[in-house]
Amino acid sequence: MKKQTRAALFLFIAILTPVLAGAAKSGFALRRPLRVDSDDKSIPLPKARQVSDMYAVLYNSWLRHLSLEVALEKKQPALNVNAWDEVPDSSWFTNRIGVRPLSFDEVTKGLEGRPPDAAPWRVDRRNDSGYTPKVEIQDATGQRYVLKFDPKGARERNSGAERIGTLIMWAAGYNVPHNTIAYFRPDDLKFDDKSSYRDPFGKQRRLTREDVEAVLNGLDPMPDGRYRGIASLYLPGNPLGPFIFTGRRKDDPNDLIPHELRREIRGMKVIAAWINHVDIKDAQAMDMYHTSPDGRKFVRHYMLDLSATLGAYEWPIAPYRVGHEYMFDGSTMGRSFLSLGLWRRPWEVSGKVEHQEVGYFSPELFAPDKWKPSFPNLAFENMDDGDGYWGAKIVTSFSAEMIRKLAEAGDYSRPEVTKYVESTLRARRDAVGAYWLNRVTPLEEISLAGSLINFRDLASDRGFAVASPREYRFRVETLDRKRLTADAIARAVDLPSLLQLASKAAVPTADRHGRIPILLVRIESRKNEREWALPVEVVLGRSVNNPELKVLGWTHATR
Amino acid sequence: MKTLIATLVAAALIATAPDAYAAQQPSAEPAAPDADDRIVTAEEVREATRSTIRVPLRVISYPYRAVTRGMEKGLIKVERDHLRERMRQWTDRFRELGITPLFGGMGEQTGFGGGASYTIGRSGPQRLTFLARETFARYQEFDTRWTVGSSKAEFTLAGSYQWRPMENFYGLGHRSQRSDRTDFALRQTWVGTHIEVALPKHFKWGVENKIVGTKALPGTNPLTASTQEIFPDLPGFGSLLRMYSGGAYVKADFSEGEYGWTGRAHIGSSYQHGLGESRLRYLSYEAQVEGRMPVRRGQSAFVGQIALNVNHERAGSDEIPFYLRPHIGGSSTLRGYILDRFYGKNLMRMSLDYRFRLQPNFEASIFHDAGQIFDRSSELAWFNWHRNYGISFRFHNNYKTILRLEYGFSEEGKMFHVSFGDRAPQPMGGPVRYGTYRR
Repeated sequence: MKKQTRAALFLFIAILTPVLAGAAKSGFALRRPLRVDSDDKSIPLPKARQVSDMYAVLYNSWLRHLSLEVALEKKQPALNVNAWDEVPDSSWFTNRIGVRPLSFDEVTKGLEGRPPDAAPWRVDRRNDSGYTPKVEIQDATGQRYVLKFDPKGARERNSGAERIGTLIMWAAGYNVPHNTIAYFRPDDLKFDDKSSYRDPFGKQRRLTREDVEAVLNGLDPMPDGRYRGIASLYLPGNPLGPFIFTGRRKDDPNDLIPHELRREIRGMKVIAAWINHVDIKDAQAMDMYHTSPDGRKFVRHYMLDLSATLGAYEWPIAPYRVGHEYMFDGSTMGRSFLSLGLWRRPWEVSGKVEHQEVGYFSPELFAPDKWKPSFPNLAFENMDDGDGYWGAKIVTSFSAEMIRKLAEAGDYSRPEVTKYVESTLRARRDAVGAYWLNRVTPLEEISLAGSLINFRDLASDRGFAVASPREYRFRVETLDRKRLTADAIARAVDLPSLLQLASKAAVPTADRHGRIPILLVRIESRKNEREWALPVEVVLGRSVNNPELKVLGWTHATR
Repeated sequence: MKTLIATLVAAALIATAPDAYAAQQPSAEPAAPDADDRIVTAEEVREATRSTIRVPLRVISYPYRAVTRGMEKGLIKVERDHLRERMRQWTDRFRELGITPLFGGMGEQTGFGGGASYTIGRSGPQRLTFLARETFARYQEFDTRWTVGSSKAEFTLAGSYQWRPMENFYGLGHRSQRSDRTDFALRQTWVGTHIEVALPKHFKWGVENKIVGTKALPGTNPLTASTQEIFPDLPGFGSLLRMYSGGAYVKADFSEGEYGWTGRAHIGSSYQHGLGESRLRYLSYEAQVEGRMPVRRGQSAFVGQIALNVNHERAGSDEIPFYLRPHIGGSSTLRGYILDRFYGKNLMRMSLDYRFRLQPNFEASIFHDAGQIFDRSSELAWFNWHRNYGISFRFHNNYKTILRLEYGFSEEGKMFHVSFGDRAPQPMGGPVRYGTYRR
């Protein structure tokens, strides 16, 4: 055998053997019964980090496709999921809407901080970064805000979107800054010796009224001469720079889970799709070194800049691609290429801006599974059906009444604009519900009463069930997935021989939480006449101090 | 067999070795891995994300990671120091002063380069512009241009110097051999006037007068033979040719955008008259017609172009020097051939592209070009034509083409052209070689 052939064989076997060894790994694990993931232990101050927006675009769009490591990476399910297939509260996420009743008042009061006191405000700085023009201000009490404005020709658009987006993301469970719509007159802005301006050449000088007027002159004032913007309160704590949607912050010992394996990050795609949050990227996230009331110091993770939600993000030359295509989208470009340009993107044919105050935010062409941000987000690309269903549960928790009030929070001058935002949010929410709650068996609050497995069917409850009356296909399996019963189809999940099956099954030792899983019940809801939704797998077992059979947990969309 | 066993042992060692990811982490993990208040422990995360091929993969991927990490660091610096914004500010500041930076080459195969133009009185009826540029292939251009005019008419007085050190030449006629590749340098200087008048309804008329001094010299490409070494009998090599050139043209432009119905035409003629000892006298006729037919409006279109250049020597004239003759081959003419592959007295060229948009800034086209150079019309037999077909991609921003990639196939094989930027053609071809890109 030639030397080169031997070397090639060596390399091939060296790579293949571990792959095959790794592929053999499998098993059943009952996840932890925790409602809170305590990732808020005190840590030393981590180093602030910077990211590059341009690099993120380059890497996510092209460079990663050249990486062998990325190509061979296995897709993993989310890791921070508890026994009930939920995300526990953490420094990233707090369960709010959907797990408890939430009023609109609670949402507006829930944001950390408060709006700025009535003007006058002192202008600290003019900030030329980003898409929307902005200045930094302090109110009479010394609270600092970034005052962001709507671009010319789009009055009320970005500010309305940011206010609504902020409230939605907070209600969904994410940490966001306190963003309020603020009105002022040019005279309300005061300047003093501390007002400064650093030009792009790095030269710092005193900020003058003319500098800010140069910004205001590029805006559209309200008919009464006031200006409108969004006042975004500075986040509490030390800024540590953005969190990245993949990997971990290695100088934060609390940050155990790679971010692309966090369900609240992956499942956020469904929420982002609902509100068309297309500009979601590393630079729009922020880690803050936070001090809790009891003095613990840890990192909290925030989502920033929601001003490009609804229809507020635009590509001037192709406004209707937003939400449908990446800026450089291989699949649509490939389709155009293969069809020699004859294929027309449906959104280019029928995309339409109904109101300038909203931008391109449409219910008609919205497909929840096909929505795309402006650039690939690698955590979103890891989203699986379980994550998607989790996101959809949150989206469909927003009631019609809540959505009406959210639309009103945009404070649009014209009532028809408010109405349009409300109806579009409702239509898109319904599209999310219709897709995900039929794709995945949407059972929650599952319990065992005798031989009957009780549950709440979200598709029925929330009015998204395609097939009605609801019918379920189910069977019992051992923990190593051997079938104990044949598939049964019925309107209720009744298992008369359950105790008998449980007595036959091998019983493992109790885990550290005193749980002894014994059986799996696989339940599928009917999706339509021919198909069943992805199953929910319910774990039945006992606890150490209670011999009665009960539901220990469940997982949606197991394959 | 021994090799196989050794291989398996090595593979097993690699598979069971602690992975680099884990090795990076110990100081960052909490002391108690079995913490009951965490949804997963560090050990569980490691187990879930553990890849048995991580170590060999990391070794193989090291160069990739080194390059991407370097890019990331560089781009972080660019953004942290606001280099883009600074660049924009500088550009704006320069523009206010009338200075415009120039990037790109001076025609195909001239290399990437840069330069600047400085205009005095940009917004007034009179403009005085100075331009200087050079490419990495040492092509140089210096222009001075004074323009006065209104929206209806424009008068320009201009002077220009160009040094083109590496122009291709393969011999005269369509039977020239590709293996006879040579190069020559060309020094061109001219001064002249140009008047263009806007006629009603899409038409323009123009007149041009130039005094041109041009000299062919040995090429500077060390990898190629110089033209006079392979073709020693070419007249006019090494001597300065001075001539007067005067002509007129008419342009018509019925354009409905890139993918709309479009008709464009340019017809002109000029007379070249040698000065001093030169007895060169010839008439040059040039015509270009372009038509576009949309297939899907705004999305795809057929683009057809026909170009004709006929030169007629007056009785008693010197022979037209080879470097003043029409030539085809390259990105702007026959895309399946090398640049300036065929030189002849007259030229006829046709092309048909099917262009379609893949993305607002990115388009593709399938093309077929056919062209011929000929001395007499009898040579213009169909089987003499050089034909090619191919595919091209064009990436542009809202204002101009940034990058063009063309891949053509011809009887001489495959040809790949990469061109950066646009270079608009001169109002008239005449006796000045300019190096334009197809637009």
